[in-house]
Amino acid sequence: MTVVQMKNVSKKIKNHMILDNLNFDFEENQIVGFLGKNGSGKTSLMKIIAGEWSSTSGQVYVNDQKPFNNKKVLAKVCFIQEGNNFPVDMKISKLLKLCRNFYPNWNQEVAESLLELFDLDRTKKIKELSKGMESAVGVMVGISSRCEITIFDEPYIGMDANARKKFYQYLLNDYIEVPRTIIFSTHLIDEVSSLFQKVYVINKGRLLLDIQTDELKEKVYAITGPTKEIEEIKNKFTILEEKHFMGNGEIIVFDQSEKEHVMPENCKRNALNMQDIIVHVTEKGEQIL
Amino acid sequence: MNRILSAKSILEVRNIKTQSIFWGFLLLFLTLSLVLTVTVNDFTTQFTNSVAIYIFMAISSYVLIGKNFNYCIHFGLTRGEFMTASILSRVQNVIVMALINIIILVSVNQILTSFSIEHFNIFSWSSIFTDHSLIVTNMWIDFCVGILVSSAAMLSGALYYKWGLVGPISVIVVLILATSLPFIRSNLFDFFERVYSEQALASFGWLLIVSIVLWACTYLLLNRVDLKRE
Amino acid sequence: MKLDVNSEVPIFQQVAEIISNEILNNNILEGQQVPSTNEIAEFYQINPATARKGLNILVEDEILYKRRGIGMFVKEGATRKILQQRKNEFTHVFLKPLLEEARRLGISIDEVKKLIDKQGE
Repeated sequence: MTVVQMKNVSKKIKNHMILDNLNFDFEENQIVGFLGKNGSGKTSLMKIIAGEWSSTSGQVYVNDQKPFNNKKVLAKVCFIQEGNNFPVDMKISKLLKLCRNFYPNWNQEVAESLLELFDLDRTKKIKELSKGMESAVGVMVGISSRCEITIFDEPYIGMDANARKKFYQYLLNDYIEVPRTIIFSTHLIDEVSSLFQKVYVINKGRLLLDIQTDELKEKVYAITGPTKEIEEIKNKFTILEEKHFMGNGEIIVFDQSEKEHVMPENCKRNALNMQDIIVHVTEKGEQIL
Repeated sequence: MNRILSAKSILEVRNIKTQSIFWGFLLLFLTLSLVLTVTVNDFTTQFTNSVAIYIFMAISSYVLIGKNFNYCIHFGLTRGEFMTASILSRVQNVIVMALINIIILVSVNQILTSFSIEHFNIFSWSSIFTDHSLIVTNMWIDFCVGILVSSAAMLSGALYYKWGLVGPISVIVVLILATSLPFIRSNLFDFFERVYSEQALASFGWLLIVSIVLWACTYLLLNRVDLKRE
Repeated sequence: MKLDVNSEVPIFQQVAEIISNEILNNNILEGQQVPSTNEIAEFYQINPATARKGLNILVEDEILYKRRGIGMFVKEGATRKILQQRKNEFTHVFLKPLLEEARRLGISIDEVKKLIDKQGE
């Protein structure tokens, strides 16, 4: 079943185009990554899917329903953002009680084990926690809610590498146990990219890429070799970056063809890591569209 | 219903604490002025709980939306559920405060008569509406005025949420302009005079109707608004 | 064996390689069950869909077969098949780069042969 569907969706705030004519949809029970620079529109898009914001034009459907202010959608969504998720004066123990009422699939056992995993003291108030601890509370709620649609918008601010690793691990294992739709936006792409089944790359409110994670490395890669040979094959690709030094060159290409290209004799194709791919794609986004 | 009660409990995270501080200070001042009046004994003190309650209701209702709307919607509540929870919480608050006020009124009056203190006077609506009992009069009027003040403050809070300071300030300007119009002014004056002369307590029910209209406006406003960015 | 997220080889292909290596090393015998999609996903911390894709390559190559509701098993003759595949790839993956580098360094084919003989002892 299609879980999220966007048809010509735009969002304008004070004459400023935040989201510009988005069109995409995806099936339920996938882990989907929303990638892009700060201010690219990722958060706005998530707020619209979560029913917190309305769109200025176009149609948004979540589970075939319009999400804005719609109980049928809101009760199935858990949205954890960078911060300010919970009232600062609330104790963690009180928060747990509330979650049980708000999230129909809430799993107390998962919550308990996450409290222990992140060493969270339930007698503490949100405002008494460090930034990393506060993020851990968000992560704990997000996973334990087991909502049909769980949205994480850079939920790890202040968490150290160790805690983040625990989070990804727990999230994946819980997802395997109870498959559900997980939408995840992040800057730390290399850390989580292997969890994503699909990625959406967004820049300046526009959708640059809508692709299976597996295929990304086939589309964007580097070619190194003698400048002369590089020049020969250059026109077959969209060039995202080009560097030459001492008669040798490197190009980062966006390969839109279906079949594999035959490389000139001394040219080599090199894979890029996900982080670099996304950086190159967002830098030269307009050329891809 | 469970969701609404849970939402209400978000609104009331610090309610007991702030209420205790409020009543603590009020009782402290009341005792101090009572002691001062008795010991110095050459001036008359007029003490008013009701106004303090209205101010408290106004402030707490004004900050209610700014403080809690984001969190509640973020938890997955609809705007309607948020409004219902807010109204329930406001009504409960006013009733509790009016009750506490009556307890204070009765006990202070008891103290005043048993120690025959004459220079101290604590305001009670029953001194204006003498036809009815102290409890009924104060309970009813505190309730009606408290609700009106609260709903007006909530609307201002919602206006602030949507448009920033321009919202509530423009409302205040409109109110000042409206009350300065001779036509409205004389009508209001007539209304209060009639209420007083006829001892028509039931007329305070009009305040509740106005409150419902203000709440409806607040709801319509919040119903379309996007969550604010932090 | 470890997965390399940054490798140019797609993750699902690495999964397939890891499994066929284990079959080749006789760590999983013919007729035995291979780890499930979820077990692989959990162990390597990858999306289950990626793990499934890796297993499906091996099913297409007739190295594994599905038993509905139970899981995936190593087919009879799988070892031989992988061996054959790897031999076919040997020229392309190992020999060609070797000869290319030798030419660049000015080492003749005969010299390469001698080096191989020496290394083989």
